[in-house]
Amino acid sequence: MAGFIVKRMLQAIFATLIVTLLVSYAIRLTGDPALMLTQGAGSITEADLARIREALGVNRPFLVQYFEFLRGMVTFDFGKSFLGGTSVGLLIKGALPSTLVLAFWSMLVSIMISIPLGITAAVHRNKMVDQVIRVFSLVGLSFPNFWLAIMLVLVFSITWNLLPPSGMVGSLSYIMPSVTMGIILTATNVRLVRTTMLETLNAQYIMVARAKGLSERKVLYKHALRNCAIPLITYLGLQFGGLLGGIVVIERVFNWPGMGTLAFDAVGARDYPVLQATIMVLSLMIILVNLAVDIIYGLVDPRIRTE
Amino acid sequence: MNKFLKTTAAVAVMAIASMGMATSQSMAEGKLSVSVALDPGSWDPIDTFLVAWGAVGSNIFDGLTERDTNAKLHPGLATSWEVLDEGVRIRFKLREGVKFHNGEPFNAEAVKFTFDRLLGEIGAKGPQRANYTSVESVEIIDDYTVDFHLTQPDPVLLTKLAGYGAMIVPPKYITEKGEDYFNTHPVGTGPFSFVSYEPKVDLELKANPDYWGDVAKVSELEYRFISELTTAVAELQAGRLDIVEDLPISMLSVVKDDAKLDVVSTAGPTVYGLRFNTRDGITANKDVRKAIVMAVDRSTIIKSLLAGEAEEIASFQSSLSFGYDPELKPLPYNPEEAKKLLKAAGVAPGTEIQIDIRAGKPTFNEVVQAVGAYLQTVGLKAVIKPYENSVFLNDIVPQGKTGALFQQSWGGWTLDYDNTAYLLYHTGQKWNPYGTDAKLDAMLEEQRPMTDVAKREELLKNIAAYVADEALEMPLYGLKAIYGVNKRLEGFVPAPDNRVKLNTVSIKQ
Amino acid sequence: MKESSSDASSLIRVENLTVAFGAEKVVEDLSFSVRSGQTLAIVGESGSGKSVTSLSILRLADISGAHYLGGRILFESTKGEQDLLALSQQEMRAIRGKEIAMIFQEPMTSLNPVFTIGDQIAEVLQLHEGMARKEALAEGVKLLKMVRLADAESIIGRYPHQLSGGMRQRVMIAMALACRPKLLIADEPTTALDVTIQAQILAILRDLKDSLDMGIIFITHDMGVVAEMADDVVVMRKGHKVEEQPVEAIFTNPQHLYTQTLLSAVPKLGAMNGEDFPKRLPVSVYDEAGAHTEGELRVQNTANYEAAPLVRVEDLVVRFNVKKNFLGRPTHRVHAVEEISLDIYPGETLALVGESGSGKSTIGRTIQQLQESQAGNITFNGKRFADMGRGEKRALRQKIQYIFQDPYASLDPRKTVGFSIAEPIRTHGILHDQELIEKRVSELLDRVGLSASHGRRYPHEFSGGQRQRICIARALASDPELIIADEALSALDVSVQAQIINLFMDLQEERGLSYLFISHDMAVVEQISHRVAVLYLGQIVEFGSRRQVFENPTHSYTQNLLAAVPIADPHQRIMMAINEADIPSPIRAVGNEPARLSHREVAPGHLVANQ
Repeated sequence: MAGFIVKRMLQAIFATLIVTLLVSYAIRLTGDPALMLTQGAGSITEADLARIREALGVNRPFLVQYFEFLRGMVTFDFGKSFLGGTSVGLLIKGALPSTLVLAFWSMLVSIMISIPLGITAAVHRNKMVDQVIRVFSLVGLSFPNFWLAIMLVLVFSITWNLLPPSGMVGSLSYIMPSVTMGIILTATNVRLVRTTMLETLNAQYIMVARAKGLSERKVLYKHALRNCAIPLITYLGLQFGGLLGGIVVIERVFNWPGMGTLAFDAVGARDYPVLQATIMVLSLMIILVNLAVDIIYGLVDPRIRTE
Repeated sequence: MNKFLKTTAAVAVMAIASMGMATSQSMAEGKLSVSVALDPGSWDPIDTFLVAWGAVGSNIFDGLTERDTNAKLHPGLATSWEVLDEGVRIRFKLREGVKFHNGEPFNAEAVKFTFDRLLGEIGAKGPQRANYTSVESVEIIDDYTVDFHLTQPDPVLLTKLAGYGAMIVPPKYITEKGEDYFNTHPVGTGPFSFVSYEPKVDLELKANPDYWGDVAKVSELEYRFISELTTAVAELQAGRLDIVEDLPISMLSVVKDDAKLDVVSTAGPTVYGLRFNTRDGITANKDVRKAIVMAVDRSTIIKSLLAGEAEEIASFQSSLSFGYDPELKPLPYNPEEAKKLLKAAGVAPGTEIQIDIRAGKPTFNEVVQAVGAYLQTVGLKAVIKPYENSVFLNDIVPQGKTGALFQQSWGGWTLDYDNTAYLLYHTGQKWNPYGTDAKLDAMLEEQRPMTDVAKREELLKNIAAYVADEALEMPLYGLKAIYGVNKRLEGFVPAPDNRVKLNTVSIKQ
Repeated sequence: MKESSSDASSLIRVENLTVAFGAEKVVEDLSFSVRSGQTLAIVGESGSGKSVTSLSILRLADISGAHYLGGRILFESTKGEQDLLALSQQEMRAIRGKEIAMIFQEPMTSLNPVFTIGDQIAEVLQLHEGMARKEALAEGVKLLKMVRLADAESIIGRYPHQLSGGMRQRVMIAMALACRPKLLIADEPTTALDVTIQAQILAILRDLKDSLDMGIIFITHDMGVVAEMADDVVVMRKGHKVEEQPVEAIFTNPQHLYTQTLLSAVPKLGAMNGEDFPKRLPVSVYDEAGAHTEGELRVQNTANYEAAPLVRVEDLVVRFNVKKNFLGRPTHRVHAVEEISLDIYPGETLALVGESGSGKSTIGRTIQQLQESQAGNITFNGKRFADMGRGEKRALRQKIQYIFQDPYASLDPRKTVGFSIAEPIRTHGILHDQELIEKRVSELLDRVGLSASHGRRYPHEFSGGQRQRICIARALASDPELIIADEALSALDVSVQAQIINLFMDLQEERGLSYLFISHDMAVVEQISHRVAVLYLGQIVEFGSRRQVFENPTHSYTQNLLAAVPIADPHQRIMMAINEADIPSPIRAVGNEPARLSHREVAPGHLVANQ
């Protein structure tokens, strides 16, 4: 197991390097931060731009800049934002928990909805309930996430004035972003739970469990669900990347002070240090989650644990 | 399932109860909430050109001069000034008895410190210095008198002194606390003083009871950073924001339809148009250019596509601009005449004409679609080609690789036509890829060192008239600065440049 | 016939039971009864309704969508006689696992992989006996000892995947018997097991029935097992009971034509004594028209030992790495095949027999190039695989065809069977003209006993036997010289199995085909093969002609294997001392190589490993 983790960590570091290298290079193709910073200026000369580029350090060759970024990574010094010179580490320290908390609640919402629905659909396969749930998840799949977010805001914030339309201000403000994200995830998760559940319900040991005299609830939620957990966890792990991707959009709509907002503003301002660091941290998160999934596997599936 | 419904209901009840409390709290005690599209990251005046900074900074800091909402200059921290030595020296008398928020006195020392910093090592790292390179040095004459020595006459300098970079900063505070601390804990002489700042979330200010001008009528002022305008409007509708700046045209009806809200607008500095490729193709012909301008009904576009929140322009400047000539009228909409001119110039019906624009600007995109439709009626086939922003700004326009027409938009914050015209029309300028007009160059160069305001204005008007006559561009409209405002506010005066001073605003009880 | 419902001492009485799925009646007007201490066998082929009957008793059939159209199931429960069909699911739960327990066919999938053995046994005791977990686990150990699992204390904490199939089935029995049920339903409990393990399980069930005084309903398709276990027998066909008799009478004096044909189709071990060659036997078929006999008796003397061998396998070694250390080095290997040598002659059927882990399938897969070997040579028509180019190896895939156990899994469900049969003709470029290909497909379908029109249908429209015929047609399409039949008959009903055996033999006669026949079924092997290799842990323990191996089994393993086969004759019950040992695993630590067996020739061509 230890060897496996070391191997995965090395893979993870390599993957992160590739991702950040690509992103760092790509963003430098899209425009000059000096130009962005001086957009509102009246008269700006090439000399002024050169002066700002030098101050930002973007006049040096790309690889020099990239290696400096890597060196900073090792010492946990991510540099300073081009926008106002705030420490990037500080920005990420502020933003990462917001995003993770939102991701957590979204996952939770999605799990809370999709597991009972998925199981219900599987148990009542091809019956009315199943059809309704499947239609629901199909509708969920075809929602553009920002549209759903806007609808929720219209209803809950503007019409009824129950929930704050944006920002991270108290526990109520968590409801709409995590529900939006949760519903989007639920659409696919319901189908996944249904499919894996159907497969599991066909297994002989489910019949055996019933033959023991166990209640249907125990059969479904103890014997079946635990077996579904393995494919579900794999999928949820894979989904985490997509979840973070979705959160970028959701964060913007709900003005959530997380990594998505950070990255979004950074792209707009060509704020290389912030963008590089956010991408790096996000890809590390994805890799870590997938590593965690591999470990959790073992905990859930004794066939792996007892190897 | 039943359980689920019950839980939902319980959450909803809790939500109602606690929201009631939360709302009443945010409304109490005269707290004003304003949205800002982007967190500038630093509140140091010399670090930024972002309008986001301007909106906030103008309520924390003051400059020597101040520009009102009609773009007229007024005394700020300087009570009066004199232009001396043929424009290379300006003497300022400073306002006495003014204190920074930290209690530090404002005096000649502070002015000198501010400009030494701006023009020195610290300023070199930021973008703002570019605007003040005509200042050679600041000399302290006495505690409340300073002389600005210029390298050359700069007619726009007094306006620029109302700009971000020239905001006066506290010398002792910065020296003691350091630059980084100042970035996140700004101290100025303005009507509001700093309370707290959470990056990417908000900045909280409180009224400065010792302000030298009108003391603020609200006790607290909060700026919230909301990049998505849709979200900001939702917050406005929910009553959690009082002012939203830069309301997009597409959202006007939403705000207008809300009984609690108002749309308030004023002439803004931003102008939009389509520039001609005067070097190649059919648009090298002045008559063709005029025909194209005449083919487009600009006033209808403003009425129907921009909800009237724009003004027609004849030259590439807004009505607030120095050099604006109310007498100069745009070419009339006259498709018949346009057709005649085109025929005379030998342009065959169905000739393709390419219009290059920046992608991702829905309103302007619609406008260009309309322009294309008008051109169709005079027999030109418009092909609209959107480019990614940076490609357009770096590779297409400056390299002279545009089609016959290309987007030209300009937000001259100095509101001085020189700042626009020189960069757009002088030979060899980045935004002038095609034109080489010696006469125009001469006019542009001539006005620059002039200290005689009236004479310079006359010359600028002449330039505008010349450009209009040459039909170097199709001026479309000057977009108004549009604000969405809660009706509970009193005394809100829209500013053309986002720099709304909020000390005059009060909340109706 | 006995009138079951009048039996007052019966534990359970099924009266006029009719079960339907939708509009289709799968069980109709079925009646039988079981007393305490009695074993009733329900025998029938696929579609007979025997499994639905057992699931109906437990009322599990309605969870899967069955409807009870009529009848009663009267059970003598602790609360007195109850009609199980009238109980709610809630009430049934008190009976399931407590008073009526069930063992299922697939021990590999009957246990929940994510819970320990202990948890799964304790669950029943906690539920029905109100035991605390600790107490239940202690009882679990006792139960595991009862089913003669050595090392019960350690097994209780293990997970299903750590146990062999035989051990799992014993765990299932322990679990079923946890609450000392009055009635045990065993649905094909040994079908998936190796014969020696089957013999162990049957012995355990027999002993426990006596000691616990249970009634047993034993559902099976295997007449040998029936003869071994049953007191009374109910024969079912297409949802109906066709016959009910005590076990001796069923075998000695079957009344119904169907029972007679069923018994005649069962290959009987030892039936071929005294024969040198395999024999094609006429098959009795029972259908709507009644019973009739198909085909003729013919001695299958097709093997040509004068010719050079078609396939020669020399010192073949196949191993797989199963465990690795963290440096990626293997620590454990499956020694699937260890230096095996054998020849297959033109027209010959060579059978590979052995139990799980013997390596018999691996040999077939290696010859078909589905598996890499670590050492040794395989020669086809005189040319070594190692010396063949890519093209030649491809051509070889045409000459050697493989038929699997599960015909459904080996056919593409979205393609017509005609398309599937034509596929090898196209890939190997045997024919190009579309019309000729279609003609060839029709011929092939006709040859395997189907009609040309079947080619336009899809696999799900066929029965298991028909699908296996389709697979054979597909194998024939590329005009092979060798067909590897890997447990190709195991999933088929006996009557169908007999027909397919004849088809194999007819094709061999016509085309001079060679077969490598891989099977665990000794009786079938006895009938079909010219020579037999008995494999044990990847090595040959005995090799010789069919007659040599079956009439003079010399190696003790061969003897055990033959002794464990249940004979379809209630007078010949297995009385061998039951070997409690499990089949050893072919997995070994790296460096711990198995000892190589040496062989002696006890008669010409009859090789036996030294012990």
